Amino acid sequence: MQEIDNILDQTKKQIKRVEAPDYILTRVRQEFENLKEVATPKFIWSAVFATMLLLLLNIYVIGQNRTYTISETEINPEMEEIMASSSNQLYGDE
Amino acid sequence: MEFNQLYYDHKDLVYNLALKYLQNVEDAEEVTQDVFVSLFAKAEQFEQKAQMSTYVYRITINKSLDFIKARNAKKRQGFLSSLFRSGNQEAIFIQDHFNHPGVELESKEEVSFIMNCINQLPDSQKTALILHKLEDKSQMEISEIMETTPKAIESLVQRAKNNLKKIMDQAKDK
Repeated sequence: MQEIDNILDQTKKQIKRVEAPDYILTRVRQEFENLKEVATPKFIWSAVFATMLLLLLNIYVIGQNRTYTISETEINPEMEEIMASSSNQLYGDE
Repeated sequence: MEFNQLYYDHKDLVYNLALKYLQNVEDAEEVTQDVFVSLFAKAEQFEQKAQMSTYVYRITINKSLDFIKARNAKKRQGFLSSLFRSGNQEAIFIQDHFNHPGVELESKEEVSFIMNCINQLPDSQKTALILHKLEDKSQMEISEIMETTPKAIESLVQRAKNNLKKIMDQAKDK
């Protein structure tokens, strides 16, 4: 195990301490400001408002589709009658 | 606490520790940035300097280990896609990836080999070994950082050394 200790001691000597670049601080400040902007009450309220608007739009679209389906089923019996009478006419001509 | 002071007090500690885990300048810079964003967000919670230092170590270790996990997942994905291509891209990636500004050119190969072997240890053993042998931290300090007992740290370092020997022997045999 002494061999491993020696290798690790040697590695420690070979790795010199370096200075962290200062431009990281600029990047950190920028990211931190962005995060703070996202966390403001104004931003949260606008996100809630947008979600509600989207939800209402979805309900409206689903509602429209349902009305269309119902009116389609109401028309169907009439259509069937017309179809039947027209086909009777055809057979009658024969 | 003033952000600038917080940065200048801990920047070298964070950057050098991240470099020991990642052995790459760009990756270490990314982790350092992540660490300080988290620190700035929680700066007001820390009034005592000692408490802050332990937290800085802890958060740097966690962010570095998370980064390694994400990098390995990406590498696996790359390996899967390389199965459909020809060439030895995986080997090229590992060789090119070692970029430590604190290691001189003549020791690069040797340090790269040892750090690569240390990287294969389980996370807790790797952390205990890096802090004890490369960062010169006492067992007491490491136990505070890793939130365990000094006895457990002693055992972790011992197991890490045993496993490291096995990994190095296997790598030399290949």
